[in-house]
Amino acid sequence: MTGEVLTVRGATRRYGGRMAVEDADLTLTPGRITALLGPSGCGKSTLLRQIAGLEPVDAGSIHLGDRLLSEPGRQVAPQDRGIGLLFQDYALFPHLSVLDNVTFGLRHLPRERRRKRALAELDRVHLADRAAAWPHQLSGGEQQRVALARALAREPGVILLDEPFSGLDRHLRGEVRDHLLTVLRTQGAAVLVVTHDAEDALMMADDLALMDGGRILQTGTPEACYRAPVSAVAAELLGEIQVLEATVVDGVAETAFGPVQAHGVPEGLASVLVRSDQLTPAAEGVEARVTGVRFLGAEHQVSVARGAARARFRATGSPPTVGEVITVRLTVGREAVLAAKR
Amino acid sequence: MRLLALLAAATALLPLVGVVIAALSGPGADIAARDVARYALTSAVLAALVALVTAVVGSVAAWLVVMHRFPGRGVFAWALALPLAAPAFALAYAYADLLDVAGPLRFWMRDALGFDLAIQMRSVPGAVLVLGCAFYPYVYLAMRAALVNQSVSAVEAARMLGASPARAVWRVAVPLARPALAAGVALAVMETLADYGAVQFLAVQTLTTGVVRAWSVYGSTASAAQFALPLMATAAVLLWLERWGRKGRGFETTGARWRPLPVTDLKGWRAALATGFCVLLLTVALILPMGWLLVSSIDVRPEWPRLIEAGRNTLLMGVTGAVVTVALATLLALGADKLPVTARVAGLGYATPGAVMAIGLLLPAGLVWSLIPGATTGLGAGVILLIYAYAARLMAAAVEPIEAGLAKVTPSMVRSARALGRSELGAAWAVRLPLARGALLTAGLIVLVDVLKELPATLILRPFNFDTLAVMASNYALDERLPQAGWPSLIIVGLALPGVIWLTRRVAASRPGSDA
Repeated sequence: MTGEVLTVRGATRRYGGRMAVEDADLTLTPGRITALLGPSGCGKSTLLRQIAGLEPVDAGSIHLGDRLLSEPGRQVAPQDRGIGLLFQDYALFPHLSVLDNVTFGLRHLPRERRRKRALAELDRVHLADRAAAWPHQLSGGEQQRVALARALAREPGVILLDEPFSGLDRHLRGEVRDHLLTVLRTQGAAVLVVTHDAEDALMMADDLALMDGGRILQTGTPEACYRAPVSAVAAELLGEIQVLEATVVDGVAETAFGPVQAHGVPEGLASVLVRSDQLTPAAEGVEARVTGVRFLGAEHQVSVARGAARARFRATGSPPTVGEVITVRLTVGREAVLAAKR
Repeated sequence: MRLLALLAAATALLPLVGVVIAALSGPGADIAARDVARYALTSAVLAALVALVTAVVGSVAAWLVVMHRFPGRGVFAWALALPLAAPAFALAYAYADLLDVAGPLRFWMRDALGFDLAIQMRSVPGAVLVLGCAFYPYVYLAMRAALVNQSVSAVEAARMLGASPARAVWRVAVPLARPALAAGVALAVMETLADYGAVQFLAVQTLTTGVVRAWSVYGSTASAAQFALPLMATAAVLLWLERWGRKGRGFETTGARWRPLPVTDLKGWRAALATGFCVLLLTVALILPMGWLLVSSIDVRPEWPRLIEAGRNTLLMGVTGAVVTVALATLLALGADKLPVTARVAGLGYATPGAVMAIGLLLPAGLVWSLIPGATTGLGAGVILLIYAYAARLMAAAVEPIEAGLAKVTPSMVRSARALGRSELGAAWAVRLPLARGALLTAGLIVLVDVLKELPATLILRPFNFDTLAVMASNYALDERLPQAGWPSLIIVGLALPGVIWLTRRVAASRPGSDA
């Protein structure tokens, strides 16, 4: 199918005095998977429901191509949007068989075509043999695949997935995620995945949008968001982060663990955001005392101190011993330096 | 534990076996099979009509209250269940009087409107009005619970799959609520079949009046039991229907996330219509009949000594019945995880009309009395028999909240109590029961309210000269002393009302996840 770009401009949603979504911009491109990552209660599900048409916009607009979907006081009904939604709890109809669940959305087709289409869709998620089963007879992962087949059967140009892995066992996730990715890729639709799990977001996303407190903090490729966060809050969403205090002088940010290139950053106080793989033992660098070592399996977490400053890093190979003085170096660049807010 | 549960279940089963044996024990008095068939037909027609009325009225009320916002909604949510406090026979007395040809309503109509509404209360339609009013709360409560617990996302999913709002409701919301509707209607029909006081007063001959008549007029336990057999069979079917509805064939929603229900704000005439419907329903089912009983009784001097004695007896039976029943039900619930069949057997007792239960007890009781000479003379024997009948009939109703309460105690809590050195019984006593305290109180109240209103079993089994309020009301009504019958009826309502309010508020719109 030839997809159209879905554009969200300044979407806002208020509940009483509380802003659930505030001035959110988002673009979903056909053939690309966008992950919307944020902590629970940040408004990401509300934004997804606005796109689906289940929730109105109090300000802003949503377009699919040139077609207006939502604006304050006016919106296209959910059933007329041509958008597919995979619910967090799957929302399978318990009173319909697996096959009937999938055919539910295919009313526009003649009966026989409907059946064929649904079976083909079930086959794609490897569940054709369970067509006659009832939803409650399926495992959690199977239920999700039925829900996916049901949503995809209508060949929507936009597919929304609300926390697709939250109901699944940890060890099942990887497998389900890979399968889901394969299926979604072949569809060619514009896909939005809403999740609170950084690993899921990084694994799936072509584009990433970080959200907190109803606002979209940053959009970009996963690498860009990971390496060049716009704020400590945005950085934290993608994984553990350490904030080192620094002073910028002449385009260099001086931290307790060494200098970082800070060209163009205003002089004065600043923060340097450091991931645990961005501080490493090195031949050249600054000396720090090892204050703790923890075994994590494939690697060790090493805590070091230099004066009052403390930091941690991940070390592979044989770890240092506590009390030892080692040389460490920061491997972050300009993008990790944030000027202090005034 | 298993043994105790088995014992409790046997308690409920014994009277049913008694009925079968009594029915087989020989030809009854001069009651032809034709009569049984005629009474059965009336019962069936009555049950079908009451099912229809309660299904429509109860569902509409629940749908309005749960899915809409309109003036008074918060009060109606629990007030619409209050007619459960009024015994059906009291409604029958009130309406028979109100709608009598010479009654105040018809009089006013002829006078003010210039025409007469020829309503004959002593008829099947009259009984349908009374029983519909009395039993719609069963459907209302079941449907309200179903609607409150519905999965919003199922309806939303239908919308996302291209269904219009109307189609989403018709294809998804309605089928999902159907089991609850079946369960509620099954309860209403069970109560309809079990009713004696109202239909007897309205001169509608059902199987249950047949049972009582065969026993009291013809003195034949055997023929009473023959009337009772089709009732028992129907009860079993209804029970199965109700269980099917409750289990919902895995209709429970799969996910764990709940969002607030999308409640529609009603404005203008729609809001007025919704409020009007609820007010009308409450007026017809409770306020008008009870108000009329009050108005017509206020001028007569109640016979205080008899009333006080009957009130004392009623409370004695209610409280004792509640304690005994809850104790037995607790044993059943504690053993139920090991022996699930016991709870199902007890359920059969609940579906069985009280009159049938009483007939079933006469035979085994007779056996016991003949073994212990002199036992019949005491007041105690009859009271014990009566308590037994209440317990056998109401055990299942009490088991349900207790099981739900016990389910909140996780197996690991019990296991840790065992690991800390308690025996199985000890763990139940120290951990499971204290945690299910609220549920035990709920169960006790359910039994208490039912015993307060109970008539047929009490009529058959009570010791000589032992009147409860219900029996007293019935006796006055049979003597056509309606104003006098009003007093005991109103006292029953007064006693039951606080319990019903407490019960309905407790189950009031609590949605999983929103912290009950």
